[in-house]
Amino acid sequence: MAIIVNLDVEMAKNKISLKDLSARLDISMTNLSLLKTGKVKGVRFDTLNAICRELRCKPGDILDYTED
Amino acid sequence: MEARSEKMLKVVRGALSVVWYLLIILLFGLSVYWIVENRRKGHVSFDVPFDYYLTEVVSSERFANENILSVKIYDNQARIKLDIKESFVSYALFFFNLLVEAFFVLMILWQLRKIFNSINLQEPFIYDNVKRIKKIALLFILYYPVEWLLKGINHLIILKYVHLSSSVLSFSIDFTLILVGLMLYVIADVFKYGYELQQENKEFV
Repeated sequence: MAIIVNLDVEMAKNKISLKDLSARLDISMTNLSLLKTGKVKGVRFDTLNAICRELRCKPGDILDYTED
Repeated sequence: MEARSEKMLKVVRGALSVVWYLLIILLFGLSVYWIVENRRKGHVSFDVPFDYYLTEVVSSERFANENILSVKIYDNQARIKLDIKESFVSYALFFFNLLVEAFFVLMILWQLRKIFNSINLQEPFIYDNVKRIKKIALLFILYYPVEWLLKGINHLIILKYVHLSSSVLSFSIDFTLILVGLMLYVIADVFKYGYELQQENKEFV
């Protein structure tokens, strides 16, 4: 897939662990880990909204596109 | 899930469990009662009618032989009730018929209980439910063919005791159960689609 997930970068900028972020977002650590590694089929808008709110970033900071 | 529909589901689940256990107790009790009663009488009565449509007027004497203790021919000559001397065959025939009938009912109830359990756990769209609905569908479809087979077997065995040169074994066809079975196959496919959608949904965060 050509979509790259930079969640770990934003998490490092905010100095927040996966466990804390999953607690704040009310998403399981498993799902968040799958999202971080780009192994999910898609992200819902409300999940993206919650991530951007917690990490004080924009969707473009978390999601990137490169040519295959 | 709404509290009211949850309650309804629990009630249905409870009712299914009660019916299940009652049927098992009834099956066991009926068998014991039947054996005790026939041992007491000294012969085996087949009260379940064997439907023989006789093409000529016959009398009871025609059936008299050492194995038949009494015969009742109903007015329309469409049914014969036989009291047969106790033997392994007569007992085996009764239990074979009872177990085959009970198998269908109990299997359907068993699968229904499992389906309702899964719905109660808020997981209706699981692959197991697809298989269960298909099993129920198959049982509905197979019911009449198996009944016909049973009638045929009963007929062959009874012919050993009763000489009926002019009888025709009757078979009734009711397509309702077959249609219900086919509809259930369609419903199973709908559940399968629901399962696939749920799996795809799980892959979204």
